[in-house]
Amino acid sequence: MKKLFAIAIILCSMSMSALAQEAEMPNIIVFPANVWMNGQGYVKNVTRDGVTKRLYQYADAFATNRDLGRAVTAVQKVFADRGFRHEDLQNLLQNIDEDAAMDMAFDADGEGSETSVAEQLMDETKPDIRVNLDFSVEQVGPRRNISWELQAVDAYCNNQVASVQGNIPLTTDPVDLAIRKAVAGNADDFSQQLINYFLDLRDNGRKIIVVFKAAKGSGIDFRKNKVGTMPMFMWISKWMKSHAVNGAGGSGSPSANKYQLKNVRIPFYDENGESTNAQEWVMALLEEFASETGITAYPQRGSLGSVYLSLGGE
Amino acid sequence: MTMVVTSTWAKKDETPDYDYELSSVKETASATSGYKIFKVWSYATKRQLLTQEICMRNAIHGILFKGLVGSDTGTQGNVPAMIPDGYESHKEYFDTFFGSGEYKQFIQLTSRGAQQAGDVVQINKKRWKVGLLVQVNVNALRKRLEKDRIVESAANIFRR
Repeated sequence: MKKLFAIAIILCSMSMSALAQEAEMPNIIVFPANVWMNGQGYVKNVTRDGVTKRLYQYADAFATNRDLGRAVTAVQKVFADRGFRHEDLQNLLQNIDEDAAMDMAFDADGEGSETSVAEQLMDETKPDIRVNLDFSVEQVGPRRNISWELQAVDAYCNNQVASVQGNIPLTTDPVDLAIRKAVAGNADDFSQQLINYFLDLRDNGRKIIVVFKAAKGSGIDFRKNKVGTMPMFMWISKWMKSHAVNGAGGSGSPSANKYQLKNVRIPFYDENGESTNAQEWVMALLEEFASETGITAYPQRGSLGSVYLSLGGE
Repeated sequence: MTMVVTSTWAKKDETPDYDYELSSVKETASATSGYKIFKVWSYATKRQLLTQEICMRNAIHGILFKGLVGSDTGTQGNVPAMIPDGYESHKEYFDTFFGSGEYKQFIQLTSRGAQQAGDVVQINKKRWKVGLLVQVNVNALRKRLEKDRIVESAANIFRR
C-alpha cells in the first residue's frame, strides 16, 4: 500500500512538473480581424468626451456567423497539431459578458477609461501572440472569389511576426470549407514563421516600449538634471542596457520632459519562471531611481508591451 | 496508358543521386492539415534506375531539405524545408533514416503509383525523368524528427 502511495506521489509530481513546463510557452489567441468585424457590422461606436471608440462584438459574431467559428477552429487545430499553447476565444468570451464590458466602459471610476472586450481579454489572459483572421467573399454567379489572410501580431510590441494570405479564385466550395483548405494548406508556412519568432524571443528576449514623462510642475529635465555625475537620460539608458537581455536597452532620443525607449528586450520569464510584462519589469528601475534621486515615479498607464512612467508627480 | 517503373533492373551500386524537383499539384487541396500531395520529378541516366522507391526517397528528401513551393490557388501554401541546414547537419541520422527505408512509413503513392502519359520522359540519350504523384504525412514526419531531437518543436523551445 505504501509502495502504491509512493508511486502515486511520484506520478503526480511528474505530471505537475510537465504542466509547469507547458505553462512556460507563449500563449496564442485567434481573433477575427478588426477589418472583418467592421465589414460584417459587429461593432459599436461609443463616443465619450468627443472621442469615438470602437467596441467589437465578438460574442455576436460567433453566435451569428457560422463560417467564422469554423474558420477559427481550423486555425486552432493547426496550433494544437504543432504543439502551440493557445486559448479558444469562444470559451473566453463566455467568461466575459459583453454587457459587463460596456458597463466598464462607462464606469465612473475616476480614470475615465473605456475598455473594449478585446482589451479586457488581452489584459486578463495575457496572450503573447494575437492571431487575426480575415476573409472576404465575392460572389461571381454560382462561384466565389475568396480572399483570406492570417496575421500574427506580438501583443508586447504590436509587431507583425507571421503572416500568410491568398486568394481562392472561382471556387464552388462553401466558404468554411474553402477557408479550412486554405488554412490547412498554409499551416506549415505560418507555423514555421511563428517557430522562428519564438526562437528569437527565447534567445533575445521580448520587445517592449518604455516611456518616461516628467509630471507637470515637477521641473524635471531629462537632459539637464543629473543622477550622480551623468545626465538623467544617460543614467536611465545605462540602467536599461545593464538589465535588458543581451544589453538591448532600446533606443530613443530624449527631449526636456520625455524620454521614450523602443525595442527594449526584457527576459521572457522572471526569476520565478513566470511570464513578465513591461510594467512588472520596470518596477526595479523605479525603486533604484527613487533611491538615487529621491524622485518618485509610477506607471501611469501601460499594456502588455508598453509602459508610461510619470516622474516627479504627486 | 499508365506505366509503372519497377525496381527489378536496378542494382545496389547504381543508386542514383538526389536529383529531383518537387512541384505542387493544383487539384489536391485538402481541408486536413498535415498531409501534402505533390509530384516528384526524379532524374537519372537510365530509366530503370528511377524506381518507385527512389522517387519516394527523393520526395521525402525534398520535404526535409528543400521545401515545397505552394501553388497560386490560395489553398496550397509553401512548405518550408524542415532541415534548412541540410543533410550534412545530421548525416549519421539521415544515413540510417534513408538507408533502412524508415522514410517509407511517411509516404504513400496516390492511385497505387499509376502514372500518366508524360510522366516518363527521355530528355536526351543519357537522361531520363520520371514523375510520380505522392502523399506525404508531413505532420508525422515532423513529429518523428521532433521526438528524435533533430528539429525543435514549439513546446521544446521554451522548455527548461
